[in-house]
Amino acid sequence: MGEAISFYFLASILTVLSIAVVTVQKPVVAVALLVFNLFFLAGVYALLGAHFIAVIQVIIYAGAILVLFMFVIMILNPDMDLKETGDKGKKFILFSAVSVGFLFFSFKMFEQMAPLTKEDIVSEILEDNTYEIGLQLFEDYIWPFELASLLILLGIVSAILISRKPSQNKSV
Amino acid sequence: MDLFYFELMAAVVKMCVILAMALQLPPIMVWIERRAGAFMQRRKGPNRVGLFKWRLWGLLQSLVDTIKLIFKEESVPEDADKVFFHLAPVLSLIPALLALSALSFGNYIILFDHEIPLQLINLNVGFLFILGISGMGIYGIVLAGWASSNKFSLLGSLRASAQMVSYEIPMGLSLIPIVLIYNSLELGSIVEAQANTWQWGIFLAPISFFIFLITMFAETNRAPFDLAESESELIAGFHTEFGSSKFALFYLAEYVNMFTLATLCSILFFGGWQVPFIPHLKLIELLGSHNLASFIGFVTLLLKSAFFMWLYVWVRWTLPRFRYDQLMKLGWKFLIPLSLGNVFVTSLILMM
Repeated sequence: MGEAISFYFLASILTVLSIAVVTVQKPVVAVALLVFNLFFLAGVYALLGAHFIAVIQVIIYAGAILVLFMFVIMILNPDMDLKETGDKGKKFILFSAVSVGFLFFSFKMFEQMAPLTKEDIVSEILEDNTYEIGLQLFEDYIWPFELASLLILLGIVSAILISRKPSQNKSV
Repeated sequence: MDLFYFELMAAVVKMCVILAMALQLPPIMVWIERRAGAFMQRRKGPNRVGLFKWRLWGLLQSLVDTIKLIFKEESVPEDADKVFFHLAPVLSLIPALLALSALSFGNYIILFDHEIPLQLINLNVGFLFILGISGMGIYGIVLAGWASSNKFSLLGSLRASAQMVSYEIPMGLSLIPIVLIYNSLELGSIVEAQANTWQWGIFLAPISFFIFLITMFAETNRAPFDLAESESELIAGFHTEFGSSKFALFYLAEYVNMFTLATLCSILFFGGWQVPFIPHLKLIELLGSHNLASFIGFVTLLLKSAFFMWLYVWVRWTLPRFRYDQLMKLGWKFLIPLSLGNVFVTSLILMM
């Protein structure tokens, strides 16, 4: 019961925040709301018992990546005058058509599904799942894991190579 | 009594104790900081405010200061983003207080045949939670600088956030050897593994301690890394426009963050609530009482973190401020390679 209440609480906050992220005018506010969004999403992970994923979500997405987003937006300080263009009537019709279709499909989908419980999503709730994740990553899936890290390293190096000016500047 | 309600009550009591501890910090620390600064510069410092004829070394100065702060006029800049201007101090305080909840302040005590651990929440992700949550404190600072629509504030907040993001990496990396050595992320079991004084983190992972100590100062924006609020360049950095109780909230957040990291440092590297040279189990035997031993452990931990709080003050009044490029160089070109090498060497030694 408490779990369901917490879930619906988090889910409603998440929905409101997600809509707000794409509708607010100021880019900085949008990023700030996205931060809150990711923070509450971590709360959903924690409800599922995936504490490790939740914390990593907060550290990496909310704590590091979005700081850089905000950084760039603050330095560039983009113009706030975002004027709406196009026919408002047409837009309204398109918007309502899409939302009605979306609602219809989601109702159709949910009709066929039994109400989900935590046990349906998480087959087995492990007490010390951080330990289990460590075992899985470094015992069973060591090669894919290492290859993924190699891919990320390649990405970093290539980003530096692309962004570096091909000049004779030796001071940097 | 119903177990659920008992645990609920215990949790509420623990919350109150932690909150009281957090709220007590700034007045005492401000007084210590001012007195210590005065002492190091051969001045007197605040030594007058007392009660009637007792001066109490000026201890009541902080009380008077707090009253002054609360009753000061609050000003909001005209161009400020009103919502975030009011929200920013709260956003920096909430993560700071949340991080306290995962600290292990002691072993469990036994009340009415129930074991009550002296830790608000015990997560199996342990100190990762603390690092993650205190990382969220950046947003309070960034939004404070942005919302006050002041160039000095914006520059200060950009400096602070760049610094905190950069130094989070060596801080996280410096803790990996601790995880490898003690085989756990949980603060409680890390402390239990340090029962023998020669197995404290400082002796097994001295380089980690060295890196952690440096990043501790950088993460809390304290001198010598207080470029975010360097008064000679930026007036006061991100909290230039904040007055009265909003400023008090920033101040509170800063001191709570300092306390969290000081306690984390004493837990990970100095045996937490283990009394030096007397393992906790032996202490229980000696005293014959579980609760008393836990209480002594709690006091020991507080003394250890008090030392690191003192270190913050000491360093602040001793060392000059870094230049910004020196700070970035130290972070990226020295601390990160060093901590990576430290992880590599530690895991090699543990493999052998």
